[in-house]
Amino acid sequence: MNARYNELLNYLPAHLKIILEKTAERVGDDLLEIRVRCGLPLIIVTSNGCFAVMEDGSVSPAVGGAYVVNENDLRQIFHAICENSVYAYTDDIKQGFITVKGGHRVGFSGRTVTDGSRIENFREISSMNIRIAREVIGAANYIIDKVVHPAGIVSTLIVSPPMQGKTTVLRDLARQISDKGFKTALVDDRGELAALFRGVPQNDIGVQTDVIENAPKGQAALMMLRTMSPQLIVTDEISTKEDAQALLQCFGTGVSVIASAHGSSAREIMCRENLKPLLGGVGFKQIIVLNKEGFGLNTKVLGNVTVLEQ
Amino acid sequence: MTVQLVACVVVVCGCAYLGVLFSDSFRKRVRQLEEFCLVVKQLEYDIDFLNTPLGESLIRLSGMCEGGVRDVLKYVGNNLSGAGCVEMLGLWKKAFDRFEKELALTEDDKRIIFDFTKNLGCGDRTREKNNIKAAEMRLNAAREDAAVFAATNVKMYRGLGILAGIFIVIVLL
Repeated sequence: MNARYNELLNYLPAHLKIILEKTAERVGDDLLEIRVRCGLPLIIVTSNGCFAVMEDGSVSPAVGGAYVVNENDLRQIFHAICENSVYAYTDDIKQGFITVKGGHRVGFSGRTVTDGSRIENFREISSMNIRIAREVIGAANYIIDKVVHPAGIVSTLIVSPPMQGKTTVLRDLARQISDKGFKTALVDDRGELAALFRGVPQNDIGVQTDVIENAPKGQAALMMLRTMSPQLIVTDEISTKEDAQALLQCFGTGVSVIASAHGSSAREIMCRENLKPLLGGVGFKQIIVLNKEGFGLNTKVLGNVTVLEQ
Repeated sequence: MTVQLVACVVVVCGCAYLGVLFSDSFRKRVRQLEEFCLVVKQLEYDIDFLNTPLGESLIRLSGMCEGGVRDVLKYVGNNLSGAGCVEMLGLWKKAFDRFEKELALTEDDKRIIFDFTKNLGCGDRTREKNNIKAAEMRLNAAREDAAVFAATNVKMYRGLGILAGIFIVIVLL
């Protein structure tokens, strides 16, 4: 496994680190997620499915003899990912995830504290999902020509179900477009695209890319527009009405936008109330639907948006 | 005669120096408690306004201190910065053990700091501020006690040093 994965293991208690180092030797780069649930077996997710991790680091589809995670493991991991400074991560905790050095995302669930309608904090954390960040240089090679035309950049919405490589493709698109000389603004509200650590991007995002991280998407996009004069704005996972409204304002200024959204088809996206205003007109000119299977793109037109599906 | 006189002066000065050296530990304790008070105050600012992670903050604050306090803060700060899984109270105790020779704090003083650091970094801003306020109050009280203790004992030990020197000279003569 790579150096990034080793960095991630530092956030785990020593005994878990030893177990997962052995697991990584067996599984290699295929490790996608580590699932840590209180009182339940330690599970890893690979492209071949879910496996329980045994005390000796071996993996098995059956959970018998697997390492059982305890409350202390979860507490230690939580404090480690917060850099032993929970107060500094309150906003991330409210959202239910923290992005750690290397761009890995740790999501958690458990008993929450609310102020009625909003989650304020977590009283107890019962499970964590550690998603291992993977940077694939060239992941966007097969769509770059569809996005960058001689006339400029085509505003594109990249769509796929979770775990199909949206973020990886988006990051590589930003890198390639930026390296072609376009001033790119990366609005990275979850810190997964650039994964800044002390101001230095942990991922290759191109030489002409400016990053704003951990800020509300809408506010950050408009701020970048005003201050960094970008030709392209790239952002991940738009879903809320606020995200859509902020992007609409960006479209109105003539800047191209490349974004991603959860979904399994272009039709599904077109039915979502929050995303509808962004499709066609001054908004997204094309939707690219990704899946893991292949790299061929079939073109069709839905409404006034071109849809490229694999 | 001259040799005897020089020897007497040397003995008296040596004893006086030992007295000064011993009494200095009381002043050092006051100074180190003052530094810890300052650190706690600055931590409140770093947590409440700057949202700085603890490791980074302690490294910065170590630059404002001297001697043992600086070394302890730097050690803890370095071990917290990007090190991943650490046990907070254990780390502070280890730091105090490591730099024990440079510290003049009593067991009671250390207990205040350990009580404070046990919960440091575990809660949200409000909880951290409450923890800081409690520590600040206890540290200030300890500092005042230490200052009163130092004021009476520093003079006493210095005087005792000189007197012990004179006593040795008389006995030897």
